[in-house]
This record gives sequence, C-alpha cells and structure tokens, in this order.
Amino acid sequence: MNFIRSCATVAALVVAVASTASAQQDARLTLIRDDATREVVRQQLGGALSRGVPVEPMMAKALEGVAKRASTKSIRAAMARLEENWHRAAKALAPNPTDDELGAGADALQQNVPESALRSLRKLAPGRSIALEIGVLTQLVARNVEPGQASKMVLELMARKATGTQLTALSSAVQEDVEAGLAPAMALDLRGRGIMSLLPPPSAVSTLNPRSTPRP
Amino acid sequence: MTPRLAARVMFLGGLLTAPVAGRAQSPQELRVEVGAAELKQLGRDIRTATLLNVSWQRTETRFASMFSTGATWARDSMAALQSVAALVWRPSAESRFTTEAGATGAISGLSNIGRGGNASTYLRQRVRFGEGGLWGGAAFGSSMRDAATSHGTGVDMGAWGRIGALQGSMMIARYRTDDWPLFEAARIYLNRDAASYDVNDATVALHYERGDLTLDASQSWRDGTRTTDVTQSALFGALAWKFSPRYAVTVSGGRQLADPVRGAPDARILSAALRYTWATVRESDDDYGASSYVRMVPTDGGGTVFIHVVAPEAALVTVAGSFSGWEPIQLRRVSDGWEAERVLKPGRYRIAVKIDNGPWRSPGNLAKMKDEFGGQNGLIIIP
Repeated sequence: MNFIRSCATVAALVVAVASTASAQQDARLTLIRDDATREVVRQQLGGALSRGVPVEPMMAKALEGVAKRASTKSIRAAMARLEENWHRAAKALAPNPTDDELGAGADALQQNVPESALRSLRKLAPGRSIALEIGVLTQLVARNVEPGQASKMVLELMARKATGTQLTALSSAVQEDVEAGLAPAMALDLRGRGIMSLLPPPSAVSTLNPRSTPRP
Repeated sequence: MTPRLAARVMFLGGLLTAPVAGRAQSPQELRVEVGAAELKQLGRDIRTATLLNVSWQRTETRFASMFSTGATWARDSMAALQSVAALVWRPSAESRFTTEAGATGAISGLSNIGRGGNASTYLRQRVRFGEGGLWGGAAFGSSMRDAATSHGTGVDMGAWGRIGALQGSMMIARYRTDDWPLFEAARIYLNRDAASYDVNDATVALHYERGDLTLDASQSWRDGTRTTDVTQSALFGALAWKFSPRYAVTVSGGRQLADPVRGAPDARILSAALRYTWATVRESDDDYGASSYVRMVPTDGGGTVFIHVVAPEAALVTVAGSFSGWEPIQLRRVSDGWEAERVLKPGRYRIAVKIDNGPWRSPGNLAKMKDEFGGQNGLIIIP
C-alpha cells in the first residue's frame, strides 16, 4: 500500500514539475520584456497549471495585459481572476467540460452571467459542447440584455435545435436593433421570436423549466 | 531640382513651425502643404511657382466631407486658385456602396490661354468587393477664358484592387468639350469642322505604401475619336516621406494632360513641398466605438472577419486580438480609415482597437466586455 502511495506521490510530483516546466518553457514568455512582469506571469502560469487550468487562456490574458501596457499588478490580478472564474465555470459546467466551454464559461462569469444560467445550459445539453451557446449568452448580456431573459431565450432556442449560425445572427440582430433605439429586452424578444418561427416546436418538455428536462 | 526651386522649398518650409491649436470631438484632418514647382506648358517658357495647398477632411461613420484649396503664384504675377469640395456618403457603416458628390472651382491666370475660371461638379458611385471594387461616374464643367465660355463633360468607369501594400486602379473615361483654347494649347486639333472635341482616356495608377514612404505613379493615354486628332501619353509620379508623425516631404513630377472638365492645362510639373498634417481623434468611449466596426463573412469551416476603423491618416491606429496573440495586426489605408481582415476558425475571439493614446475599445458593433485593464474588448463568435 505504501508502495502504491509512494508511486502516486512521485507521479503527481512529476506531473506538477512537468507542468510547471512546460509553463516556464513557453516561448511566448520571452515576448514579455519587463523582467518583473515576466517572472510574475511565469509564477501565475505554473500555479494555475498545477491547479488544473491550462496555460493557453492564462498566457493569452497575460499577453493581452502586456500589449495593453497594463501594470504587473493588474496583470497578476487579471490572471488570478481568470483562474478563479475558470474553477467556478468548471463546477457549473460539470461533469466533463471542455477547455473551450470553460473559457466561454469564465468569460460569461466575468460578464456577470450567473452560474445557475451555465448549469441550466449544461443540463439541457450534457453530451455536447455548449461553448458557442455560452458565448452567445455572454454577448447578449454584454449588449445589456438582462441575464435571466438572455439565458431563457438561449435555452429555448437550444431546445428547438437552433444552429450556431442562427444563434450568432440573433446576437448581431439584437445589437443592430439596440443601435437603432430599441430597448435590449424588446430587441431580444423580437429577434428571438423571429428565429423561433423558423424552427420546429420543442419536442419535449418546455425548456423554461430545465429541471424538468428528462435525463438522457 | 534647380537652386531657385530648392530655395523656395526651404524658405516656405520654415513658415510651418507653429502647430495648429485645439482639439475637436470628431476625427478630422487638416493638411497644409507648401512648396515650389516648375511648370512647363507647351510653347511657353518654364515658370517657377510657389505652391500653397490647404485641405481639410472630416470623417463620420456614414459621411465624409472634404475641402481643399490651393494657390499657385509665379514670379510674373500670374496666379491660380483652385478649390474642391466633396461629400461622401454610404448608407451604413458596413455597406459596400459609397456615393461621392463634389464640386470644384478655380480662378486661373497661370496659363497661356487666358485669364478666367472654371466650375465643375461630379458624381461617383463606388461598389466594394472585398479587396477591390468598381466605380462609375460623371462630371460636368464650365470654363470661362477671356470672357469666352466653354463646357466639358466626362463619364468614367474603373476598377481598383489591392495586393498587400500595393494598390492599383484602372480607369477609362470619355470627354467631350468645346474648350478650344485649352485643347489648341495642348496641341489637340479637330480633324474637320465640328462643334466639340471627343477624346478617350485610359489611366493606370499604382499606390504603394511601406513604413514612412508612399509612392504614387500613374500613366495616362489619350486618343482622339470622331472629330479629334490626338495621341498623347503622360506619366506622373509622387513620393512622400513621412519623417515625423506630422511632417512629410513630398516630391512629384511628370506630365498632366489637359483636363477638359476642370479646365486645367496640359503641363509638365516638377514640385517639392513640405506637408504638415494635423488631426484630431475622438475622445469619448462612444465616439471611439462608433468609429470602428467588424463585419463577418461566413466561410466553410469558419469565417473571414473584416475590421474597419474610421480614423484620419495621421492617427495612430492599433488593432489587436486574441487571434493574433495580442500582437498588433497590419492595417491598410482605405478612403476613410484603416482596414484589415483575418480568416478565423470557429471559436470565440476578443478584439480591441486603440486610436492614438486613447483607451482600448471594442469595435462599435460588437458586444463590449471590460478587459480588466481599464479598457474594453469586443467579443467575436465564429459559428
């Protein structure tokens, strides 16, 4: 038993060290000219990796901060917030979210989309990626649609098997209507109905109460 | 360049030392160009002239207005004053259609064909297709020389396109005019007793921009038709070197064929000038947002994203996004701003635009997200 425990510990250590090394070896770190910032980013990447957050989104956030000439402190804070949102998204989108979904989920949470909305989307489509749907939800909320109304519409369209193109078109159309002077809620209602008129009616239980959706 | 011409350039360059003060809320651009030129008209001696040109341009999302006025003064007190005013309109920010209407006016004495003036109007419709487009237009002008009035009309059509930093255009035009003093001076003759001249023009123009250097070249051919006997060609080139954000040196030279609509004479020109550009940028978040947009064209397995930033040429525009690892992407100059395009695979992307020292902003038509660094990102989703 001790032998197995020792092996597991060594394996975990190897994985952690390998992960940290991989973060440290990311060639993009050399793009960060400021030594202090580079060191902070290296540490944040290593720490996040050991806690299960992939390098890619963290590095992207760091490079964004560098490109925008943000202070080291701001970059550290932004990376920490991303990691936190990543973990929150992982819980909301459990059990097997993809990195794409988690990235979209972290974006959504940053935009104040409630975790319950992510859970509802997951419940409705447990077996496929819902990164696009989460992204559209985030766009709608960013366009000042109230999160509850936005998630309700996305859920309804998902239930009616709306395509990704239809969902992204909805988001763009809402933007155009808002620019033309329509209230965001009214724009979403109007455009959502328009798309729904092209779709077959929901096959099963109303998605307005996702908890009642039959389990697969 | 002759010593006399060089001396005029140096003297006039010294006049441009005081920057124009003030900032406005909309992007606009003011250019002042001073220099000297040598002009050679057919059958006349070479004249050295002083040039002063002032142009102003204001750009909004759907409208652009331009005004330009130039004065030429030669040692023998012969002078010319030309002005151009134009309005450009497009139905929406993303529209591929652009309509341009303009009017020009000139008071001229710098020629051997009499003192007088000219007024002309033109209308041009452009249709953009990706990296290029087509246009068609018509123009009408009326000239007065020593109390004699003449008229000129023209219709033109052309196409433009771009490969990397090289932009090219081809134009064919047909002109009809009864401005016999202008055409006689340009050695264009009627082959029979007729009331007007008819000529066909073809022009190929190239524009190349790399770093601080801009090169323009055009070659024109003119052939007489029906009543008119003429075969002419003209090559004209211009080089501009921007040696600071606001100052540039320009050198141009070549032949310009007689313009039957605007009444400008056939002349060989060599000029050098110092150009000063002053531009304002938008200050508020909303104004920045309104000045840029993203258009997405779906393709198999992703989409092509076109980014357009309406900003004056002198503005420092930076566009970066998650698709470029937040490295600034290369932009190309278009009529009213800057453009770039990217082919993207399905996914989520963030993009931000910065103009001069302003904040990072989302393009106007995208969902705006705070970026945690005091600015914004626009969120693009490619289905």
